[in-house]
Amino acid sequence: MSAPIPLLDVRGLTKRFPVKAKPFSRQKKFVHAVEDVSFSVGRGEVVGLVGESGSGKTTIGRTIMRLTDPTAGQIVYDGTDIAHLPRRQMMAFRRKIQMVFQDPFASLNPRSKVGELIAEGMEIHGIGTPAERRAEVSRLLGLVGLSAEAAQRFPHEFSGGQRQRIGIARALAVSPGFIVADEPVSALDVSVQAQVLNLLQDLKEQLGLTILFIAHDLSVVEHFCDRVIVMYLGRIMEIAPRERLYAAPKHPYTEALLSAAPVPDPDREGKRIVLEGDIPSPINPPSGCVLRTRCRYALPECAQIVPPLREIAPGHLKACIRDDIL
Amino acid sequence: MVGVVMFAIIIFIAVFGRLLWPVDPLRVDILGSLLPPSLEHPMGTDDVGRDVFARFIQGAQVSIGVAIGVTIAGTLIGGTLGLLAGLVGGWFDTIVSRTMDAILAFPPLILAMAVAIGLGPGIVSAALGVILAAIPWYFRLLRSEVLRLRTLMYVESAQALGASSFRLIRLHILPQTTSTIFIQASSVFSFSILTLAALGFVGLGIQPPTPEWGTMITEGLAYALTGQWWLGFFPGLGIFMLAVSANLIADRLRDIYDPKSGARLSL
Repeated sequence: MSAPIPLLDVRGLTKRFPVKAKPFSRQKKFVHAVEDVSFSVGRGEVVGLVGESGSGKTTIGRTIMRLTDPTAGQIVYDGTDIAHLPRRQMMAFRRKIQMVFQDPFASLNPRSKVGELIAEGMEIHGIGTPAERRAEVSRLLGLVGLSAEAAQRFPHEFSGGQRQRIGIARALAVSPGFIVADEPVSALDVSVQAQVLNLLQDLKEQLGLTILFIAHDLSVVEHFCDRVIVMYLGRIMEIAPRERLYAAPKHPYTEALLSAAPVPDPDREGKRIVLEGDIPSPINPPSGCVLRTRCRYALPECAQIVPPLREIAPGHLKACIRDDIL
Repeated sequence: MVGVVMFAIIIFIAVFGRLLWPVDPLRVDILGSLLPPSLEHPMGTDDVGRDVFARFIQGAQVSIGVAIGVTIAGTLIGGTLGLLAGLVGGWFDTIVSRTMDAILAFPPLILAMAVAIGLGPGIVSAALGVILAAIPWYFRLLRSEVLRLRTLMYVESAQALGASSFRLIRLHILPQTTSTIFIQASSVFSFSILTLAALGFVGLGIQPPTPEWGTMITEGLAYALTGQWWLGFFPGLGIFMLAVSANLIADRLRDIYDPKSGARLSL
């Protein structure tokens, strides 16, 4: 499914946040939010990035948006490494990469009118005259299924789903090619989730968007993504085309995640694989494979080496040393 | 509503009082001293026969004028420092924050008194003392507001669109702090009214013969015991009305500035 030259190519991305050290302690501690993550997203592809909270998926999204600077690694967008671009040169890429935020209640300034919010990106980048921008705002509102008069109202007058539509229109206003959707539906009611997902799907086809879709459960991603990346504790566990991942997961973590998803069939006796214990501290992650403390297949060797992400079938990668399972 | 009416009355007296009551507040009339309030002297006369109402009017002008100046200066200096410290962070933040902590270590009235004594009693040194005491309040408030607002998602979403720091401050951070600034400004306003009066009361503020409410209360204190209550009562009432109305207005402004409370500009 992935195109020959990926639109976005993330290589060895690492982000550590320094933690306040104890007084007189020489050792500096870090939260290992993202450790050596590499993946690519092809043009026109929808890639799901899935993991529990604390797995680093949102940090990856924020780093791609350059809302936070990476500790190491490259983020190559359309042939240019944007990971360390200075502000001025980054401006050109801000138009091309846009973000849909998780919480549609917090991500819209309550004091701005919807029209101003949507036009803000065009204003910043100097696109069009004020009259053209107004026309564009109306068009965008129509595109996301809201009436043009919404431009004159304030965000708090809208429901969660409508606000997320506004958030999408705001991101689309600068006509980006790449959208980072950071759990765009997790704050919404289930009934509204589907509507927003369908809207994203339609827009993707109409506008030829490429989307990195961040989610915390596999069920939302299932109907929407071409490929899925599964993360745990800052590292990628498995990357696979959607059908393969859901039909035949090859990583113990993916297996556990899938078994935890509810299946709407009362007769089906699903065997649930419960991961024992809590997610370890990202300040002091386990040696070797980060999953080994909770993995039911773990061997002594798992503590020795960090399992590399390796291809086990075309387009299917996993970071696990065991091939005799699953 | 009550606050606005009270505030408006005092402001009206300060601005138009001299035109409507053109009596010289410094004119001495020994024969007409210590007269109780009457039509000729609405607030009576003091121990040397000066008209208390005329002195009250000029006292209002002085108090309000200085309090406005102090509030504006405190807002600008403290607010700017807080904004910068919150945005820039690092060593600048550390240095300014610790300096402000040092200032806050002194009780505000003592600090204002120390400055007034150090620079010599007078209106300017009294005002500078109050400004110095008020700066850390604005600083702390604005700094914490900026730190809070900076992590809000809509600030981040504007950042993702490529908004410059200046644009972030102007459109997404400063407007959110206006209500906080207004509330703080009104309490600083009443604080400076009270402190200037207190400095005048202990003889460190505006020097006689210029009438000032605090000084007038001191002068009237002795006579309150012998029954001439009007000497101290009216300046005290002025201080009270001004301080209370400023706080009432601040509360109302906060409601109006909150888009979620349906309150609009119907004071």
